[in-house]
Amino acid sequence: MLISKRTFIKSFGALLGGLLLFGCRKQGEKSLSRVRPVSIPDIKKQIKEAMKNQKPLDSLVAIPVPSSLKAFPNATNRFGMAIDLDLCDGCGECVLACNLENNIPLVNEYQASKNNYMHWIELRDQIPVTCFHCGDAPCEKVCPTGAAVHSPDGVSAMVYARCAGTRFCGVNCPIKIRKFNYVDALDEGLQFISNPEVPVREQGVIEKCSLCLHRIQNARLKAKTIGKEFLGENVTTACAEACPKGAILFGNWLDPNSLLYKKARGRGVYTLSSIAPFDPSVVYFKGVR
Amino acid sequence: MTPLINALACLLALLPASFLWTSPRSIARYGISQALILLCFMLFTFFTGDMEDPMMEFYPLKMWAFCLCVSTLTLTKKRTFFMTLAQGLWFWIVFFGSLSLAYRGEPVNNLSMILLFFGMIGVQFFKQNPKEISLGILIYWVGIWMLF
Amino acid sequence: MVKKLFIVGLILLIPGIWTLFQALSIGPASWALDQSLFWGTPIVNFVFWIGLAHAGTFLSAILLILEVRFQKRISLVAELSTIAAILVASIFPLIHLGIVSRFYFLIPFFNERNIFANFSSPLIWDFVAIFVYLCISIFYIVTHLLSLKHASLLKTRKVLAWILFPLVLWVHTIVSLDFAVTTNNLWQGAYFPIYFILGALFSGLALVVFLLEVQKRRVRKIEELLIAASWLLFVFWIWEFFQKGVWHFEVVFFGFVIVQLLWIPVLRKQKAFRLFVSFSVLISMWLERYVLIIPLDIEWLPVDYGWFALGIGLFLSVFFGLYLLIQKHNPLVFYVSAEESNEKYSRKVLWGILAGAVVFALLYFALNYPLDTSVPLMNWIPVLFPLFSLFAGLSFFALGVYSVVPKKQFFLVSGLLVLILGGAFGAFYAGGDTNLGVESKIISVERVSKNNRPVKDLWASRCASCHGLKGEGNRKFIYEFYPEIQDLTLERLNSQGEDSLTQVVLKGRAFMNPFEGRVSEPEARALIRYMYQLAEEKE
Ligand code: HEC
Repeated sequence: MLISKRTFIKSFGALLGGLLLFGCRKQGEKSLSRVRPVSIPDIKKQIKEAMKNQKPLDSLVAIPVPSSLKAFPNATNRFGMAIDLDLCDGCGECVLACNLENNIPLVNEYQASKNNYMHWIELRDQIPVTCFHCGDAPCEKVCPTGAAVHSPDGVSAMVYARCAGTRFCGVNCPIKIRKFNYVDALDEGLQFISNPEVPVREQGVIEKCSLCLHRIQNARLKAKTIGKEFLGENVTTACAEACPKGAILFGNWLDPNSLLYKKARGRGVYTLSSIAPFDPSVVYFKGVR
Repeated sequence: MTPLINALACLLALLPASFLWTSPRSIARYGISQALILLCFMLFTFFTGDMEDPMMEFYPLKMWAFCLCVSTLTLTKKRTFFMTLAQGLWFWIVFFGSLSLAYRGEPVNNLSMILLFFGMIGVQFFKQNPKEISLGILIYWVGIWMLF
Repeated sequence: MVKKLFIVGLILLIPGIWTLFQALSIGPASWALDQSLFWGTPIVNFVFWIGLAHAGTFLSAILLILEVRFQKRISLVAELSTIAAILVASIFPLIHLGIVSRFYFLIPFFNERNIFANFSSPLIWDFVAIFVYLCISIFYIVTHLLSLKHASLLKTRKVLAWILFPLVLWVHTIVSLDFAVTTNNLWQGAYFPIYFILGALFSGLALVVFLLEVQKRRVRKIEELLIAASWLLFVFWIWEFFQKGVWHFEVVFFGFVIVQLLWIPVLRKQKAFRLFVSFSVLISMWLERYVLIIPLDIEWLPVDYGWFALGIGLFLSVFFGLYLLIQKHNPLVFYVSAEESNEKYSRKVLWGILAGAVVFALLYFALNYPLDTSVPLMNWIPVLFPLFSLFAGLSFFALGVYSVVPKKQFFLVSGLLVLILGGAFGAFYAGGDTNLGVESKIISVERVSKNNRPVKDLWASRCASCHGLKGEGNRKFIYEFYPEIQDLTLERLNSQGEDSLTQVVLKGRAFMNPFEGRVSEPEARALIRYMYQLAEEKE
């Protein structure tokens, strides 16, 4: 050999050490310099871009009106939504409202060029698609850390602090509506914080529609203080509130007085064919039954 | 799969079992003969079974394991050992196949697995096999095959 | 040759380590993934390397049980390759995690620490199976090395081989379930367990052919096994085509067509050709996993290429490093054939330990099951069986080693191990709470002050409507308020102090609404500091 063993090992060690330091250096410098406050027009711009390149939609199939959950047969609440496709014209107002309500971060140019946005509601073929809060959710079954769990109220919830980012839930979601935080949006200057009630998600966790859980919890608290049983009155999701056509309804599938329950009477209830086996809580209304 | 075709599959699986280990061959040739037998079972399943039914996904493998089980009855050396292994293979295929199917909402047949498991333990007690016991074991396996 | 390959491994590690740090510092964004493809090349490499880890055990443990003769001469190389391959394989799932420091959430420990391992998730089964497989493989090779001096350990080796036999098949079965249980119809298949096991053995055999060739040795039987496995896999590919209508020509070409050339004696005699076949099989098996996991065309990033350097570099350096180390102590060890003995454990010991292992597994079940009864009983078995194996393997190993090494040494090492394990146990039992603290729920002050972005946003969304973006006061509103908003000056702010101003924000004053519940206390404080900053800017 040309070089002795010792020199080889020495130089190799030095090289390794150098690379180690190189690898550990802070990646943030570059991005910090181009930080610019996020404004609502930025968010609108990304929503517009997302709406321009819409993903395809599975076919719709008819399902029965959602009823009690198999896992919680005695629960009095099963919150859900219905999107009335006869009224919806795919304007995208719900996406904006959701973004502002839930502090959804923007994505950087690279992700945007690949049509990867963090939006919890997506328009696919002009139809709003969000997490369907399946009663028998495939994502929850495979999450190894229990970060994706079902609340007794029928919300398929995400516990961000428990998420280790294996992304198994995302893999197992038939419609791929779960979003992964690839970058630290706060450090990259992509985060618009408009609602302190919703935690900002850290890099490396999955997020998705929470059915505006914070609103539900606030309403529940209010009901509790006046000693009433909470059945989901006086609360609605941000998207439902924002819809100019009133096409999105929030309510309790198990409460006969809930608007959602009443409106479902006589309507055709549909869901995406890939979601149909999993007992969704969010459904589409279309035509009459 | 109708009971009739199931019975046909049983016969088809019994067919190669008797001459599987008779003539000495090289490992490669053994491998090829196993592969071809498996291929026959797959073709059989493909043409007679309803391919929409998820149960068909491992049906040829079950036939193969069943065939291997029966073929161990022709062995003269280390018979109990290979009987256990072959039943283990069968158990393995059924257990893990059903486990993955259970995630798709298919019903799981616990009884066949329990029977196979007890079969694995059971053959340990028949170190010397007289003809009658061989026949008994064969009937046991065919029973598992036909009923589940 | 061995030394050269060791150095090649070390050199490959240079880009490999770079890849590793790139991946760890940037996170999953550093390799090709998007919002519909969540599992990328690390998972491909994981399945590939864990498959390579199979041949070692197959060739040494399973053939030991089957009493196949050619096994004896190659067992040590095979066992060593297993250890190196598991080490490489276990890195990839760790890198894959979004938050690597939370890897311990996947350990199915009791729920006291408020971490809820989900026993329905195949990843939990994976973790347990691979961990136990690694442990017992290490026990196995250590027993092998010790048994060269102490013949009494031969019976321990045989028992460990029996434990490894189902375990090795278990590992790849569980890996196959990671895919088979999903809703993705390209990944579904009740035949996957056997299919994956065959693929793993196939690639592993090819690796062993290569490693033996390095030693200038050749075992014809392994080439025959290679041909046999290629046919069986070929049939499975046909079945996959029947099921899903997918057919990967490149996989079949490298994995089946080229292997058949081994039938030609002239070619088979050439060392270069045998190496060519073994590499072709490895390529085919890598591609098989790749097309399964990533069915769409994606654009690779540098890190995706870097995995090759990391995997191969680490494997070569660990394998040949250990090889050289072992050879230094016992130069002939790789060429002597392992001995056999007919000695057996007494029935009492054998059944005693097995019963203990069953009790251990059942105890674990009994303690964990009541905490989450929603998991079907069937899903517990993939966790309980490896635990059973771990207990049995550890007991036999400890028993064997105890009888041959000096007592003092034994107790020192095992005492240390108990201390470490006990510490880890205690740490797990006590800590790692995942209940959301206020800090992680709402942006904390530190987070806010690191750069001013979030607090600016907060000000803009909550306060600016009345106070104005720069604190100048919103003219339109100001007439309606009584008392008016005072001009924002440092003097005015200092006269009240940070604490009382924070209280103003939280509790409100006149027309200034109370913000308690809408902003947290640290956020209110941060906002006041921001007001100070605005005042400074004005002056
Ligand atoms: C509805 C309009 C409104 C909003 C929104 C508002 N303020 Fe005020 N704020 C006022 C008025 C009016 C006063 C003067 C009240 C007084 O002096 O008693 C005031 C006074 C204050 C003062 C005391 C200043 C002084 O000089 O005494 C502080 C500090 C303050 N606001 C902080 C905030 C912060 C922080 C926010 C955002 C979280 C906020 N305010 C949002 C209307 C508003």
